[in-house]
This record gives sequence, structure tokens and C-alpha cells, in this order.
Amino acid sequence: MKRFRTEVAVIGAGPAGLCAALEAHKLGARVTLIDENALPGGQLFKQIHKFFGSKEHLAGVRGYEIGRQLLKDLERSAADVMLNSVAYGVFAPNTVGVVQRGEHYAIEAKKIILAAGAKENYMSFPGSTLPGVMGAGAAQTMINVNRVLPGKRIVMLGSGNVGLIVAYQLMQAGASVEALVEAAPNIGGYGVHAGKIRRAGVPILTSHTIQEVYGDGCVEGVMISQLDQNWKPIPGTERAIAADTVCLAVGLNPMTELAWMAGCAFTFLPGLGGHVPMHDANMRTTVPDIYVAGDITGVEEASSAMEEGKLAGIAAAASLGYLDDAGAELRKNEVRARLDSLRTGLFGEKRQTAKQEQMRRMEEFCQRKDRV
Amino acid sequence: MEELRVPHHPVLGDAPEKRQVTIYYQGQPVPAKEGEPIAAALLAAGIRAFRKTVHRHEPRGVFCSIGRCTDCMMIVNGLPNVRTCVTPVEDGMRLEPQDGFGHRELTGGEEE
Amino acid sequence: MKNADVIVIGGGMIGLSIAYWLTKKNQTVLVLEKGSTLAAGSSGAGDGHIYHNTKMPGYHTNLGFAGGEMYPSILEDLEDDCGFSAHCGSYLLCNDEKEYEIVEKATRKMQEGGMDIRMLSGDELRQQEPCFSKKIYGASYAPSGGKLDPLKLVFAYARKAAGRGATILCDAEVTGVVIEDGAVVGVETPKGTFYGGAVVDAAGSWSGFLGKAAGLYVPVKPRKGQIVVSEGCAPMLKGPVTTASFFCAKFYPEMMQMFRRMTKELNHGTAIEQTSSGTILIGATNEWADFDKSNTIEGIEWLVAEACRAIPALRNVHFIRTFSGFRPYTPDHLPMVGATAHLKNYFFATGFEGGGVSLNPAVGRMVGELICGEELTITNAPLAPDRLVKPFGEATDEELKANLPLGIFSA
Repeated sequence: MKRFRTEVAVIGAGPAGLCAALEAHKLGARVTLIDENALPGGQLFKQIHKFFGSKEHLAGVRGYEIGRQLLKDLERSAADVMLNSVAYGVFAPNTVGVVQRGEHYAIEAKKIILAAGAKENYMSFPGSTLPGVMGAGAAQTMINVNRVLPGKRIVMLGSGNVGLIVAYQLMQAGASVEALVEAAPNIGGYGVHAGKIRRAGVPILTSHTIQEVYGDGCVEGVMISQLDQNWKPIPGTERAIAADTVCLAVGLNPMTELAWMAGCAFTFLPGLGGHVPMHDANMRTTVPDIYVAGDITGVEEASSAMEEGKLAGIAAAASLGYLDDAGAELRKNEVRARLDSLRTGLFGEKRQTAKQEQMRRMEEFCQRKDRV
Repeated sequence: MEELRVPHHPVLGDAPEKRQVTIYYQGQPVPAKEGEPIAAALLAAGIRAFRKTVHRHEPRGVFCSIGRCTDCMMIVNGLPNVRTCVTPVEDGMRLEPQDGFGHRELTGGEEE
Repeated sequence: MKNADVIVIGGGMIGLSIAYWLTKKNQTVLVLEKGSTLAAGSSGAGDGHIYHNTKMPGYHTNLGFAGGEMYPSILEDLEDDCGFSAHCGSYLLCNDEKEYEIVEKATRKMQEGGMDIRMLSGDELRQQEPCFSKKIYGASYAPSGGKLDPLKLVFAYARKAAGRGATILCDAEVTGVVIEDGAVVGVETPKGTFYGGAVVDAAGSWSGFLGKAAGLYVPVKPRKGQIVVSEGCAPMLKGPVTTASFFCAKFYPEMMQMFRRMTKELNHGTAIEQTSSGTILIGATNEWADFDKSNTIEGIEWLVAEACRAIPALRNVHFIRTFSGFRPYTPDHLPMVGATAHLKNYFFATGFEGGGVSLNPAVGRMVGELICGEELTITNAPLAPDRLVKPFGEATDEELKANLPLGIFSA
């Protein structure tokens, strides 16, 4: 086992972790960025659509372009980057256990920022385990990062933005999207995304569900049926769609294992994807030296993950004395304002409410702890 | 099965040139691009069932593509439980679909 | 106004085994568990070895053997196989000639007691379990050793006992013991005060606290055991295995000086078991950490390294989970089972130091027989609590400091 010390250890080099590492490093902290993959960037490189929001959120810029820019910044920096490195645990005192190509490291850090991201939800129905049923994000990785189609004829389940965007991108990559199935009576995502795939001729079947995916050893087709007002299948409306791939776009959940292991206090907020580690306005958890940023704190999107990463990076560096209080507040408030403006509109507001509820519970938790 | 590759893309442009390597799936050669995950090479070759489950021996394929779900595990160079979606191909790699826990060598590996 | 004939404190495998036996004898039983679930202490944080090679030769070993023999009929009664694997054999691995000599000496004593246990050379060992390293010098082998899933066992006991009328309450920490005329009559919990004809301390590592509440010095304190768990693997190891270092140190402390530094600091013998679900459990350290349950990077690395030394093929296995639990330590390494002269109607079944999986069947029956005034199938004399237990006020500062959790001593 090799031991070394650093000031800020960042786990996860996706949008949140990259921004956290860059920000803390920019302010003078010694940073070690750890990621399991061969390349940093996390899910940014599969996002080939233009980001929403305003100019300071890099609206209109595509995800992978943002990723390239962040990687350039990272290369120019003196931050230590450990790739192909699995952070398998957080131990007392402030030590991250890492395995890199069979070599074992114990990295003792003054501050640890957890930015592990999220994973896709699964949904169970007959045939849901057949090869060919996969996460929409997984299909997106295959086409946009690996440049391989997971199949030629796709049925997408879920009409949130992920479902709509990935359906469109599958077509851009040359697949045929046979249908987009949505159990709710209305489309979940933005109208502009829905419009694009509808114009391309993809039927968006609201109030429909997948009854069964069938096939001998892998997906050969999908049996769908219409739902009534009570979300119950209407007998007689079953129909088969030939397909070789079914993509599930049914939400994500935070990857919180390391935060659990570190002893962070959690709270359950369905609007953020489930159990999330509580954090304060500085992204600091209930474990004093551990910060969180990005989807691990609740599933949002890359833009807000980047801002949360910056906030955590500034807060961690400031707590190490790299910024005076006034300077730190100024910078943090700039980021907080950008976060607030990202959490507006139809979808943003729900996330803002959930985040505020999270923050309220954190305050309550800290007050209770103080009393004890 | 070359048609499952996406060499040209309206947004991303042409796929970057990569050296071609050969991996062996159940002894049969499968072309792969250097550095790509094993799972991508197999999907491009039309191979979709990667393993069978422990108790019911049902087939599983790629689900999450980010190394979390373990549905895509295979025996790679004799080693079971390798997550093929996050393990890059290497020239000459030997792949076997994994049934249950997969066969494992009991002896060997002694330290000198 | 009695709530139950017997109140059992502790929802682990000892407490539930006692509840199982008492309800079988038509007693009404109330089980109080301080955690939010059963098996919240040692029972949910250990391996499942039914192990005959590591106990002190003589009575202690015989009690474990008896337990092993009792499992098939108990499990049949529980209608749950609990991942039970009978007679897969258990092994005590000797790294060198020196350890082999010590283990051989103990094994001879066990044989004299009529136990089927024998010594194997390294080659004989590898013939039975080919995965072992060529460096292993030899082993003791108990053909009747087995393994099961301790969590499943606890819940199966609980289901059966509840089916026979037992009440089981979680989140019910005993905070006070009600005593009248030198006899225990009940216990206080946040869920109310409960009255019973007898009270059993099956609180494991927490028995010191409970003892103090009853006015007794009960020398039990926690020893932390860290455990590492692998991914599921095809069968590679039939029987449970322990390395001899801890055994030698426990019963032959003079051995300690020859151990390597880490073995001394973490004070453990590596135990390896492949469970019925294919995972491989490696445990456990034996650390003084009071009630600090955290895993340490050193502990985990050492466990895995030691296991790989014994079974080189483990070098290619992924270890995916760690946890830790407490083994209730007693000063003479033997549990306390039975009544006490210092408090009427108060019984002990605690201090098993990780031996609960083998010992709980015979101990549950023993406590059942004691409380019901029946003739004992196996005597509890060597385990009689009063060799250690006395009124709290009579314990010296040194005793309190050495043998109780920190919380009690500082309070």
C-alpha cells in the first residue's frame, strides 16, 4: 500500500468533480482528482445536445464541447489526476482507499469532495431482463462515446428530457425509433425536444405502457397497451412492436455509497432521486471535512452539477485558508446566484423546492446536534 | 455487422481513426477498436447476451454501461466477473460468456 | 402483573435461541432488543462458521460439537435451511511447524474427549481443499464442521418463537432493572416497564451496561472484528477455515512474541468462509476500539493479504464490501451461562466471543432447562457466571478499567 497526503481529494471527474477540482486548485489548494474511468469528463462526453440556460451557463454549447474545455483546463493545471482508479472507500481519518491497476493507495486528504454522480433507474416488467433492454443513458454512451449502435430498432420508455433527447440522438446515429411510450397522459420533457422527434415521425404514445418485452434470448419485440385514467391497461388495446432494443428513461438515483460509508447523515427526497447526503450552503455534509457536489446530492443536470462543484471547490479551499471570509462569500454567492437561476422554470422549480427542503432538514439536523 | 458502427455522425463528425485489434469471443475472432470497452466491440459484432444468472441461468446483456449494474460481466482472459462495459479491449483478449459465477482456477497465483 | 414468564434481553442468536427453546417449553417470552432490528449486534456482523477446532479443548469444544449435532433437527423445526452446510469440515491452518505442534497438542486433547478431529499434513489438506497455498504447513480438521447464515438463523428463530407466542420488541433498550427483595422482577425500557418471572441477559457486548443497571459487575467488553466480503464465486472452498495464530495467542499467550507486528496489533487469526451465496467472507480482526465500529484501511488490507497468503487464488477475486462488529470478550475467554447468587431470577447467556454460531443451540437448550428447573442435558458448571460476576461495588478500579466498556468506567 502506498500512502500519500493531499489537501483536497475529489472523487469523480464528471462535471461536478472536474469543476470542484479546478476551482480548489485555482485558489491554491493541492488537489487530487480520482476517477474510475480511463478519461475524465463523466457523462459530459455523451451529451451532444446544446445546453439550456443563459450565457454564463454555457447555454448553446454542447456537453462534449464543455467537457473538452474542462479537460484542457485540467491539463494546464497542476492538479494530480488519478485515472483508472477506483475509490473503494472512505475511512477515518479522512482517508480515501483507491485501487489503480492492482496498486493500493491510501490518500489522506484535509478535505474530501464526493462527486460520484448518479446511475439509471431500472424498471421491472415481464422480459425486462432480456439482453437488449438497457438504460437510455447506456444507449447514449454506446452511440455518442463508443460510436456503436446497441440495436437498429428502438422502443423508448419514458418521455422526460432524457427519453426525448436520447431518442433523437439514436436517430442521429442511424437507428430507427419505433415508438416512445409514456405512461402519463402528458409528455414529461420539453416541448421543443418532443417536437423534434415527432417531426421525425416517431409516434409518442402517452397513456401507454410496456406490457411485456419478448424474445428468445434477447429482445425481439415489445407488447404495449393503452392505459385508462387510473393507469390500468385497457384490455384489447395490446399491440406488438417489432424491436431489438428497449431503452428505459425512467429516472436516475444518486450514487451515495461513499457518503454512507463516510458516515454522512442522509435524508429521503423523492424529487432528488431518493436518499441523499444532507449538505449546507457550502456543500458541506454532516461530516465536517466531507463535501458533496453534483448528482450525488440529488439528480439534476450537468449545468447545476458544475456550479455545485465550483461551490464545493471554493468552500473547501476557503476552509483551508486559501481565501479570506469576505472573498469566499463573494465567490460563493456568485455561484449560488447562478444555481438559483438554473433552478427556475417548469422543471427547475421542483428541484429548487426539493433543494430548499433538503437545506431546511440540514439546518434542523445541525440544531438538534448542537442541542445534544 | 459493421452497420452497427457509427463512422459518420451529423454532430460529432467522422469517428476518430483507431487501430484495429482482434479479440476472441468463444474462440472466434471479433474485430475491435483499440481502447474501446469490450462491451462496445461485442455489441458492434451483434453479440448481445453476455452472461447467464446464477440461479435461473437467464441471459443478461449490457444495461447501465457505466460499470454499476454488473449485467455485462464475462470471463476475460480466464478471470470471471469482469465488467465488460468499463474494461477496454486488448489485442488477443479471450472472452467467454459467464454462466453463473463462472469457472475460476483454484490453484496457482502463489507468491514467489 | 407479569408481561411474560421470561424476559430475554438481546435480539441476537443467543437471545433468540433461548426464546426458541423457552417457547418450545410453553413459556411466555418477551424479547427486548435495543437496536431497530434483530441481529443488530454481533449476530449480524459475523461469519457463519460452525467451528470445532478453535475452542478450548474439553468442555468448551464439546459444547460446540453438541451444537453442531443439534442443527439438523432444529432447522427442520424452523422450516428454514438457513444456508446450512453440514459436515463440510472445518480447518485450523498452521503456517509452520511451531503452530502445528501447538495445534496438534490441543487436537490430541480434543480427541481424548472423544471428538472426531484430526491433523492433516499440508499435502493431505490440499487433497481435500486444493485452493490452499503450498506454504501451509498443515491443519487440524474437524469433519463435522459446518456453516450457515447467521442472519437467517436469527430471523428463523424469531419467526418460530413468535409463532409460539413470543413477543419481540425492537428499539427497546433496557435502561433499568427492577429489583424487589433481592430478586429481579422487571426491566425498564423507553417502551415501558415490563415484568417477568425471570430475566436473561443475552446482551452480548452490551452486557456490562446491563449488569451495572442490575447492580452487578459483568465483565464483558466489545472487541472489534472487521470483515471483508468478496463478489460471488464458483465453489472454491468447502469448509470454514481459520489460521492458527489467534488460537495460539488466545490459549498460549507466550506464542504472541513470535508473531509479526500486524498480527500483534490487529490480534487476529484470519477466518475464511465461502457462504451459500458464493461470496467469500474474510474475518476478522480482534481490536480494542470500545464501540467504534469503523473499518480501517490497514485492517482490510491485512485481512485480504493474509487470506491471499492462505489461498493464492483469492488474488484474482474482487472484494466488494466491508463491515465490522463486536465480539463480546470475557477475561477468561469463556462465556457466562446460568444463574447468579447475587440476584435472584437473573440469568446470563453472554460473552461468547464470536462462538455463538456453534454454541447457541446447546446454550439455548441449557438456559431453557435451567429456567424451567429441568435436569441439564449438558452441565453449565464451567460457564457458571459467578466465577466472574459480583456486585458492582465490589469490583476494583483495575477490574472496571480492564474488563468493561469505556462508557461504564468513565461514568
